[in-house]
Amino acid sequence: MITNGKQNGEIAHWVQRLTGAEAALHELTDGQIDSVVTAEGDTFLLRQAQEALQKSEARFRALIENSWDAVSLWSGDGIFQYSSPAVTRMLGYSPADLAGCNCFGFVHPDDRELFQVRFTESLEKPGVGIGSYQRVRHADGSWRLVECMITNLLDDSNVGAIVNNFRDATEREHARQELERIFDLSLDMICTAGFDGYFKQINPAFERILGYTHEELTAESFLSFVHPDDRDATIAAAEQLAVGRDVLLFDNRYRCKDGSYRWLQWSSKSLPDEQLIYAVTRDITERKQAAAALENLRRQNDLILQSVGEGVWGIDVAGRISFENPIAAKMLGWDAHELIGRDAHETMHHSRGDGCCYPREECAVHATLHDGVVRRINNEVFWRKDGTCFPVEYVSTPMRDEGGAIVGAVVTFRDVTEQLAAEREVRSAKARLQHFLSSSPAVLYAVKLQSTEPRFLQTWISDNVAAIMGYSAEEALADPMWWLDHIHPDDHNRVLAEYYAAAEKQDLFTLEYRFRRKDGTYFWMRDEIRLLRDDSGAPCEFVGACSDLTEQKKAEAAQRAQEEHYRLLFEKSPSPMSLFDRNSLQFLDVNEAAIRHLGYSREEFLHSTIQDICLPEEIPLLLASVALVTPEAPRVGLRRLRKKDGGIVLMDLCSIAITLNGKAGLLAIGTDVTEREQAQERLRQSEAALALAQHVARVGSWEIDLANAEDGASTPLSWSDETYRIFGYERGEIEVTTDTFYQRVHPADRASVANAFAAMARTGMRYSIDYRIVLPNGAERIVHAEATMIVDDESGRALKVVGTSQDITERKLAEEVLREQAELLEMAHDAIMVRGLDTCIRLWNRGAESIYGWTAAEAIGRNAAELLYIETDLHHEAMRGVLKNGNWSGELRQVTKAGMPVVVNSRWTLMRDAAGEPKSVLVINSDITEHKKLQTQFLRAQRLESIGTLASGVAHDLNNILAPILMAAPILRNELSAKSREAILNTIETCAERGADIVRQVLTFARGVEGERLLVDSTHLLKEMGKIAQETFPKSIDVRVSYPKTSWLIEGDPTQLHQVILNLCVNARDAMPDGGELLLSVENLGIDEQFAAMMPGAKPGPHIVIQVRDTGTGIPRGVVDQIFDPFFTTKEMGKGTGLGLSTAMGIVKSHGGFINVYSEVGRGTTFKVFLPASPSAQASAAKEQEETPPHGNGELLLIIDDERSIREVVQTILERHGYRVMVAADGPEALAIFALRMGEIRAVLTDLMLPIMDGISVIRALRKMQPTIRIVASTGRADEKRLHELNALDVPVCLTKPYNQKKLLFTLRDVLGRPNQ
Amino acid sequence: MAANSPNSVRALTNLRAICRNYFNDQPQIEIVDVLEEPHRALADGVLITPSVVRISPSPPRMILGDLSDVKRTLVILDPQQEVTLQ
Repeated sequence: MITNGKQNGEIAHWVQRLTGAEAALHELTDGQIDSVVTAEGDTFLLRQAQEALQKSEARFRALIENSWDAVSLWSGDGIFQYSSPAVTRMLGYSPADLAGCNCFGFVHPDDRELFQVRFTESLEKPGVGIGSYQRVRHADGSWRLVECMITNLLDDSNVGAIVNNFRDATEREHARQELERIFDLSLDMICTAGFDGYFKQINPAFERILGYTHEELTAESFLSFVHPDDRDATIAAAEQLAVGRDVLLFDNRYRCKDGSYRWLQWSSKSLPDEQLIYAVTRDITERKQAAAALENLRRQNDLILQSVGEGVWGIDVAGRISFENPIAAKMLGWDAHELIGRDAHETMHHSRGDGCCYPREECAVHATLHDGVVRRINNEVFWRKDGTCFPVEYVSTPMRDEGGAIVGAVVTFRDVTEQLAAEREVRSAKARLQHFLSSSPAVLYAVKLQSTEPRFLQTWISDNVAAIMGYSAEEALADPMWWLDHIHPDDHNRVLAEYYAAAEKQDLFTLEYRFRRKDGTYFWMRDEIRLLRDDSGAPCEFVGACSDLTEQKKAEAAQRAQEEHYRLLFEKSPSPMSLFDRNSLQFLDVNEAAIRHLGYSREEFLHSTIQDICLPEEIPLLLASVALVTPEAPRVGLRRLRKKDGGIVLMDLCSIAITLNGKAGLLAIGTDVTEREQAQERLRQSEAALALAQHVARVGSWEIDLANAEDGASTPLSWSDETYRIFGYERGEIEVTTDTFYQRVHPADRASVANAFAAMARTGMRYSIDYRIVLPNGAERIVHAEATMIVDDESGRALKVVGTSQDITERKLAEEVLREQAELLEMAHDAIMVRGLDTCIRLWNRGAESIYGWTAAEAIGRNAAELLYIETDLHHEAMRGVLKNGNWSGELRQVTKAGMPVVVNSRWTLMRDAAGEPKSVLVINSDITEHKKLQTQFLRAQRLESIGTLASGVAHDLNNILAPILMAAPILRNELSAKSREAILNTIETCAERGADIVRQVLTFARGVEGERLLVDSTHLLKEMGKIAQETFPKSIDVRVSYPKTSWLIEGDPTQLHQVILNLCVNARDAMPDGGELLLSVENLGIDEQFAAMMPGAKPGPHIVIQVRDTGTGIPRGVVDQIFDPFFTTKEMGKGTGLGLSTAMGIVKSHGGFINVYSEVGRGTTFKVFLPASPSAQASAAKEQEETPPHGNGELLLIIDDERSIREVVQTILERHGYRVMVAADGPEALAIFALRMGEIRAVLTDLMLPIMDGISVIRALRKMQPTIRIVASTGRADEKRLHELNALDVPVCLTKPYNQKKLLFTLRDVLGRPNQ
Repeated sequence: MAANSPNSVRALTNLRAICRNYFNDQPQIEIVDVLEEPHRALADGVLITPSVVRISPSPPRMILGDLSDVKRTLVILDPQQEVTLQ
């Protein structure tokens, strides 16, 4: 390429030199050779130069002549001086053709001016290469585009010419123009950009697409056109390009002049050496939008597919499912997308509804796939995943690609199970209706109304028209006037008039008329007509039902006759009669007698109610009795009614419930009893008053009529009701005479009664006597009688005796009892006293005198507290207790007159006055001083016995402790190092301390301050006992102590409680001669009612339970009941007194507690000591109780326990808490029940100690019958071996007896809530 | 008509208004009281009152009800009117 002016100069220089050298050489060889030869040195130099020149010339000629570039030399005016062979090749002219020609002549006329400029420029700038383009004429006449470099070397002495170095650029220019055209015309945007971030070259497409001018685009960094969101990606792409990596198909957005953005896709290549990026980019905004629209469409389609109510699935041409919507999957029982890829026909369409095979060739969906016809099918089924099928209605539609070729099929379907069921229902409803119509006694018909002729048309009539009217349905429907023609002529006008009048007003009405049968006879008919209207409300049809009225008409006539008959009976009855409505009590009818009696007119009656003529105060009574009247039970009663004139009539009314025209009515028939009743009422009132008075006073009256009495003969007596009662008779039961009276008098008193009566008869004195009578039932009563004689004033003759008798038995007895009581009071050993609320003594018996030494005279009126009490606190507490609860009891320490202390068991009872206000306190004190002393001695003796039993152990221990001391002492005599001595002294000290410890513990028992009630921490008690047991019991016994974090305190005597536990421990030790385990434990327990019922001696409330459990020999069953008896012992002679447990029981009872034993021979014994917790524990216990126990939900449970009381209590608890319970007393019974109700029973609660078959065997049997049955074991003793055994049987829960309600319910809830294994 | 029942009277009033407004009072109206002349009504096929029977032009047409729906009445009385009503 000719680009370098210097090079051009060199070539020209060489050409010049070459030409010059050639000329010189010619000169040398031709003319001046001789002179050169003469000078030998010169010749040599010349030859050298000649050779060099020749070589150089050859090289240069080869270069020039073989170069692609053509070289010519011009003179200063453009005349060719030299042309290289390339000129010939390029322009077709030989050098000879050109020689002497002016170069301007070859330049295209249009380019000549420009060439002239370049040429002149070259002349002006010697040595500088000036480039120029121009068309030059080829020898063949064509024009060639020539690119040349003109260098003015005219002044160069070596050259002296203008060198033109040129080449043919025609082809290249063509190519360039083509490229430029492509660049400019490209629809794509083409550019080059520098690494500096600016466009270097952009084609017009940039301007067209982005709307900027070329200048605007190149003025700013291309990054400033990029959408802010795409800038980072664009920078990253640019960085890729910067290191020479091509970036293909890179998308970003460019801002257009109008502010909008367009998506551009770039393919770029970089030339790192040139710091250039070549890029082609295309506006893909439309494509992007189209893609987004497509995505939207796809999403929409998806959504539609998801949300349509029908199932949709599609298959490809191979019949495989290509998509399905969730409804389809759900209806077919598959998970989402599980169906994809499956053969649709095979999966859900393989069989018809009856189960027979449905060949693929017949399948409508496949047919659609083949012929592209849309098919709608409604009599096939689809099969679900689970093997069931359902009827479907489906449409199969072909899916086609853009070219119209079938690429699959879409099936939309719905489950028509319900639709088919509904259709079936409609069919059966139709059949039912048909049946009803045909079996109806009425002829049914329909008449259609129309706006054209015929205006009305009988369209339908039920088939029974043949049976009732004798015509067939066809005959009846043939003529529109058929119906009207058959109406009785006499009814015709009436019926028509009635018809039109009714039809005008209402849509439902009834006509009655005679209708002619086919046989010519008439019958009464009821025609019920209903007019039907169309949607706009215009009448369009009427339907009717005709029923035979003949029978009814006859019955009506008969009824009318009868009614008349009865009407007469009613009207003419002499008794007042009325009918009234039961609800409104309005008179509906009254007869003549009623009008006559009460004076109201018939109209007045009919406008009033029975209340209006009733007395206001009797209205409630009237209403009540009306309510009670039933057809079966008429009410009879007296009523006072007001007459029109204001007078009152008393009517004996009989009311009867009747039904009148479908309404509840009452018929009242009265009799006027005004006069009669008034008289009777007066008498009744006076008699009743008297009887009441006698009854209240318990005084009976009697009379003897002396007027007709014969001497010595039995005379009738007249007794009042109360007298009868006193003598043990009912009125009317016997005929009373003086004889019968005397029979009733006690034989011993008969004489005195007779005497008194005689005395009265004789003297007229008042008769007043007490005597005994014997009642018919043998009971003896005491009667007080008084009587006076009534004498005729005129004749002075005795007329009658009037007397009273009064039963005074109770009074007499009470007096007797009172007397006896007073005596007993005096004789009692106990001190009995009554003290006022002011503590002032009111009563003081002889017992009190002997106990306290104070006489009654001394004591009464004194203050009891001053007189008797040394413990005023306890006295106040007793007083508070008795005022609060009405009674109190407890032990009190008091003093006698002599100042001696006395312990009494005191029982206080509050006495109230008649109004129920506290009045005084009755105190009964028994002297138990001696008893107490004996008891203390006894306890101490027993304790000493317990210590005795410990003695051997204590001795052994003490020996063990003394041995090291004894052994160490002699060693100390020797001289020893301080260190050794120190160790030995330590040993001695430790041993001595242990010895002192043991002695102290033993003394705790031996000494014992008794009778104190202190707050005791049972845990402490137990720890101490555990220590003693560890120290003194054989080492083969493993002693363990367990206690809760906090145990409730108890109120008690620590010494005595120690004694109880020690006793139980010693027993446990003796039961384990071969060693074993002794467990001491304490726990808190809230005892509830249920628990208390299970455990004799237990009272509800918070308790602590001290448990002493051994693994010893156990107590035989028959012996358990005796162990608490005094002097009962199983130990050999001399080893026990048999007092230990009875003492323990005594102590526990005196603390308000109880002991429970559970023992199994060979397994061991558990003693549980229940002691009531101190009141301070109540609060926390109550809080614990608050949690409501869980309820069951009707689960059936089987309870096995041989203890009836436990069975019952547990059953009650569980039933009350929502369970159903069956109970069994032993294993065989339980297994029998379980076998019957196996599926139903949810859990079994069994005792482990059962007769016949033990609990473990029962559990094994149950497990065999139903391995998963939930079982809860209960036992009085839950040792580890047992628990282990139960665990092996998969019975993880064991209830320890006794248990309370809460424990039971929570345990059951847990077991029932446990998942099945 | 059924005597002076409200529906019948209303029907007559409506009919007269329609004749005046749409038919220029041309139609002749004959009134039959079904209560007085039931047989006459029956012969004309009238089972429901109020009813209007268009006797001419043929074929006869019938409208039931009180004619308060003018459009419907017109359609039956003169189907041509329907067009003008639009």
